[in-house]
Amino acid sequence: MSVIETRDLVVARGGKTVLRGVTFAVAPGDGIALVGPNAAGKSTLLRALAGLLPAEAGEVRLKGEVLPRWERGALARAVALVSSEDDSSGAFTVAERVALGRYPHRGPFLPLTAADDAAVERALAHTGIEPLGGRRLETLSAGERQLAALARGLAQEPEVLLLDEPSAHLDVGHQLQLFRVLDEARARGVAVIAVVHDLQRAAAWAGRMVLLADGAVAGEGAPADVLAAAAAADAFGVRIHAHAVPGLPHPLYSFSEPTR
Amino acid sequence: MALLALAAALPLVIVGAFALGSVRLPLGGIVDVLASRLGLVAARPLDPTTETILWVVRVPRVLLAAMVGGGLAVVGAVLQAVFRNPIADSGLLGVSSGAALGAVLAVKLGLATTIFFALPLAAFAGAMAAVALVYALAHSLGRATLHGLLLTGLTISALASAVTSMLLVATEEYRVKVVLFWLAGGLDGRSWPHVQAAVLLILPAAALLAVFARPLDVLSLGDEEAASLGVRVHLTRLGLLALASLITGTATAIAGSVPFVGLIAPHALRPLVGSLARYLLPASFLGGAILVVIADLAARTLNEQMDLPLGSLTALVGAPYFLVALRGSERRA
Amino acid sequence: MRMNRRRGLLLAAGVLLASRLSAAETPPARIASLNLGADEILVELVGTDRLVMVTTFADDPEMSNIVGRVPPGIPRVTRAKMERLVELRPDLVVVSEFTEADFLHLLTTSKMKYHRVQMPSLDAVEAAITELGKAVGAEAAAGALAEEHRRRLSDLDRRLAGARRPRVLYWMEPYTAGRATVMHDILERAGAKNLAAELGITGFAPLPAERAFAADPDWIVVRKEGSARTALLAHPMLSRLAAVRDGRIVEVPGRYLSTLTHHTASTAETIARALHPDRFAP
Repeated sequence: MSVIETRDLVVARGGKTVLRGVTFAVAPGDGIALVGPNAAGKSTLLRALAGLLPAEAGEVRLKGEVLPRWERGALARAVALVSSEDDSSGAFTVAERVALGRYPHRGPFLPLTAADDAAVERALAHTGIEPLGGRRLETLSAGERQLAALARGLAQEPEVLLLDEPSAHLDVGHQLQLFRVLDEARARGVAVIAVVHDLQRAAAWAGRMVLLADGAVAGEGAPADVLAAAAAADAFGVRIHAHAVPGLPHPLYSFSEPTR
Repeated sequence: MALLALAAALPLVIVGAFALGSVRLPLGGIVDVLASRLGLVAARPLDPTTETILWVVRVPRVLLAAMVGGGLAVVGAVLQAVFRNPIADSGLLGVSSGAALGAVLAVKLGLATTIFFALPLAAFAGAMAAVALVYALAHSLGRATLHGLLLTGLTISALASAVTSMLLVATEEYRVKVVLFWLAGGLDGRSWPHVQAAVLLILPAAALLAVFARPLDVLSLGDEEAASLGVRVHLTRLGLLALASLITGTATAIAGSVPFVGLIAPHALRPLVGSLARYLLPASFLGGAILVVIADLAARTLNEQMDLPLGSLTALVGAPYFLVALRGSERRA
Repeated sequence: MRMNRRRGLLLAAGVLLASRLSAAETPPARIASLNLGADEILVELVGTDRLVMVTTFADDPEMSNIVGRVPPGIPRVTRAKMERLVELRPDLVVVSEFTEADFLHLLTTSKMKYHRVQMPSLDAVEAAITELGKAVGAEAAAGALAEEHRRRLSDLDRRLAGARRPRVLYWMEPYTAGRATVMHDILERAGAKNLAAELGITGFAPLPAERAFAADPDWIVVRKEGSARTALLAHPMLSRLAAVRDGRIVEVPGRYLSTLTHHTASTAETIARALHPDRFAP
């Protein structure tokens, strides 16, 4: 039973059609890596899943109900979007920023309860940034700010977690930490869909990979299968070589320019 | 907490401002007048001079200073959050320039010298017209982005200033002086009718802004993040900016141009109470009120022959403050 | 107080008369003036004993005709300070037509009576002086002052009868005074044709230098103090005007240009003497 799915989803942005009939489904606890070349429509798809962009045709269903039928607050409680671009005013502390993730649960007027504080605590702990709780955002590095944004998403305690290039500003140590956090969330039943540019990392982490090219799904399945298929090579315009390495659970990938 | 300290300080500052001024009033007389006006029976007959000076001139003026200062400070804090820019101030959306244009029109047409309250009403109308124009233009091409609002606001401000200058150049000397005094900011000559306007417009709007503290915070995370958290971004922003414009329009119509309050108060108070709106907005109101009550006190006591312009005083304090604060933050960065 | 005996007798008679006719209403004993013109007229009407406040401009020799006549003990203000005003408990506050309505409302709320001096034209000067005289209980002195003003102006009319009227530009760079200004009336009475009116200007308005140049005035009237004359001599275009080259520039003292009072007769006389020296016996 899927928690979120799309059917023939068509989405336009700025007058141009970006998604041309995307269909796939995600179950609770899934870890989906959304990959594809630039301008394939990955960010657009995430935002459509979050209800931020309307469907021109087709639909997005969350827990069986189409998105337009979802009440705003309920949708925000169920789906969290974390992007790699941090537009926020830097004057907040980390704890304050993460606590704003409880907004869908409390609304504009109700005060935060002990349960909310606990959720914030857990989010800070999971992302490992508890010691930064009292620091103002503008004093943090880009990577630390990224983790704070992620913690806000976790504090929302959503059923679906959408991430747009979450590892963009992170050093390798933080990257590993990030994906571990995502796995922990998956273990709690959260469906995680992450746009990942680094194909190696995507292949290493994801349970399922969805390849998006030219606004449509060009491949879906186990990462190894998706990357081995011709569609992947076509989409990226490179030759993809998988190298099995003893001791590693998944292949190492290398890429070369296509022969003329 | 700092907030409590401010809340305690404001009434003290206000009472202090009642007691001080260009004319020395006997303390007993002040107590008598206030007590009798507040409904407690006075034991002694009231000295008419003291009563007039205190009740007709000073008390309304101090109360106005508090409301204007508090309102402008809250607006500053709100605009800084909405535009995610620490130097956003009440002049952004064309309110001040629109008000100035309204005032100049009232003076040039001779309304200000013949009709009571014509000047503040015209200034208010000009302010609201300017904001409405900014919003309409910014929305004419689709939903207004922050960037669009900012640029449209700057453009309308420039336009209003240009028209104001053209009108002023063709205006008689003595009338120009009236406008100059208004532009420089000041509360001289304002009394209870102005207080009524401020109480009706500034206080409820400021209270509403404080009530919507949390959506404001969420909004300052960024449009996309706010939307994903369930906030109606455009509606919320429209509501916040409308309230902010109402406060600024009223404050400017009453007191002319009083710059820097919206910048100094939130900036000075953030280190003390944090950036969360539910503390920063009330703190800004209190801080701004204290600042302008003191500035007005200086305006009416420093010079024997005229009241100094309030706007100049806040700028004279605000500009150096900002230079110092800027150097401090540059050094830390 | 420099009042000659005749005026003093007239004033005494006037006061007696006034007190007899309006026994119920005593003339104001404490008068606050918030306007230089009113300062000047009041000093003539009631002397300085009954003044409790004047403007700072009263001490400025470039603007005031009463320098040195107001004792230093009387406070000066540049712009009304309400608290000081209330403290002085004036019976009457004299304001100008440019005073804001909101301020007047405040005066009324503070239980202060005010009198507004309005002088939209030269002809209205005498009426305004008379009105002010009534308000301060100095009808006779006001009558005398107004009469002298009328006499001086009709004397000018008589002297200048039939004289050729030169085209005169009033130049307060970059402004001039067109139709419907007191300066226009003064120029006319001084035996001049107001160039600005000829150019179609109404009110106090800026005049582009090119238009002034093209109009080629016979005379130019400027303020004596300040660098108006030197500016004309140094102006790249206006210095070439015949009027400037030949020195046909009338410099009027600032104190005859700053207010609308009985001194407008002096303004007219100063200009008339420069334009028509032949009409004034040495």
